[in-house]
Amino acid sequence: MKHVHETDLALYAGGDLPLWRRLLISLHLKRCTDCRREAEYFRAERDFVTDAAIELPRELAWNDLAGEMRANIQLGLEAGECVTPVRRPEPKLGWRAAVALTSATLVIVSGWLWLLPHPSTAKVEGVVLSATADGIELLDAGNTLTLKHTSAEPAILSVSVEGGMSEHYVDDETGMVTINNVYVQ
Amino acid sequence: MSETLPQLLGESAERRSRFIADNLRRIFVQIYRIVGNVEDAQDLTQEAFIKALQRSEQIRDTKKAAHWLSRIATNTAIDFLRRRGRVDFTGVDELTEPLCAPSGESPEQIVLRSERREYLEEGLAQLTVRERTALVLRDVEGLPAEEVARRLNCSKATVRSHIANARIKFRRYLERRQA
Repeated sequence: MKHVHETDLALYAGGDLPLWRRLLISLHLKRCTDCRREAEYFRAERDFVTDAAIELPRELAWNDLAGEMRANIQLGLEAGECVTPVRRPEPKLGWRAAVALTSATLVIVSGWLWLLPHPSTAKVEGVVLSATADGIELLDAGNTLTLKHTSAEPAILSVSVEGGMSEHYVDDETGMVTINNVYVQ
Repeated sequence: MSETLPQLLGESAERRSRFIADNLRRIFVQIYRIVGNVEDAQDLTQEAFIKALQRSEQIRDTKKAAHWLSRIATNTAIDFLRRRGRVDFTGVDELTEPLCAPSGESPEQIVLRSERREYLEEGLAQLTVRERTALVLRDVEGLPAEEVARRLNCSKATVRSHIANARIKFRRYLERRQA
């Protein structure tokens, strides 16, 4: 009769074989006294290890050792707490808050853009008076009339709320002060 | 909120102390069987508890916490052996205080216990680190082979091989002792 290999018996004793191999070996053990004895020996050895392993080491003063370990564990934990940086909870932005924040930002940006000064695109209608380097210029329906001064020095200009414009300057040839008043009607 | 902070801190400290008291001996023995000497087992037990208790929220469920601690202990011991690369079985004899026998034990029982302990320690010393660790996790801790394989970072077949070798070597040792 062919016997079961020792490795298989060692594993069989601890239930470490797949089901089909376990069944085959069980059948064999029913017929083979030698293998059965071997398997029993391994099983007893396993039980011995399981039972004896929970024993404390020889000549060990457990109470003293346990007290020392407890104190060291406590010390280790306290030391760990000292060096661990305090974690502040990061503020979590929920989706509702995110939507509200985005909407508020859009409203503020839109308002700001709305209030920005825009270049005037409105067409100027009617007669317009304007001051130029040469004198007072009058524009009316595309036609321009300029009242030129003859001074090299800059003239003094003033504008009235009624729509008039006044220009003072000293005439280079005569030395006389000349005043030009233009009124728009 | 019904509990004040001091109450919560007090409860946490009490839970922590209870957790240590409930598991200290078991974890120490587990690590000792893997590393093989008292001094290293003491250091590694402390390390395992500190690692576990630094995440104290994990110790609310006592049963899960005990399993989780056991896992931390095994990993701590295995990492230690990997770092060191060898195992030292000295150290036990340096502690000379006599063991206090449990009350009611006869002298014969004390001798028997002592003999069993000696057989086990010498038997385990015959094994390689991986064989011993696999045997302790499987036969002492009662972990399934899959879990042992995960902890040793190897295949299930390798674990089986380690366990078989360990049991055979242990048997040879016991036979030699009895002869």
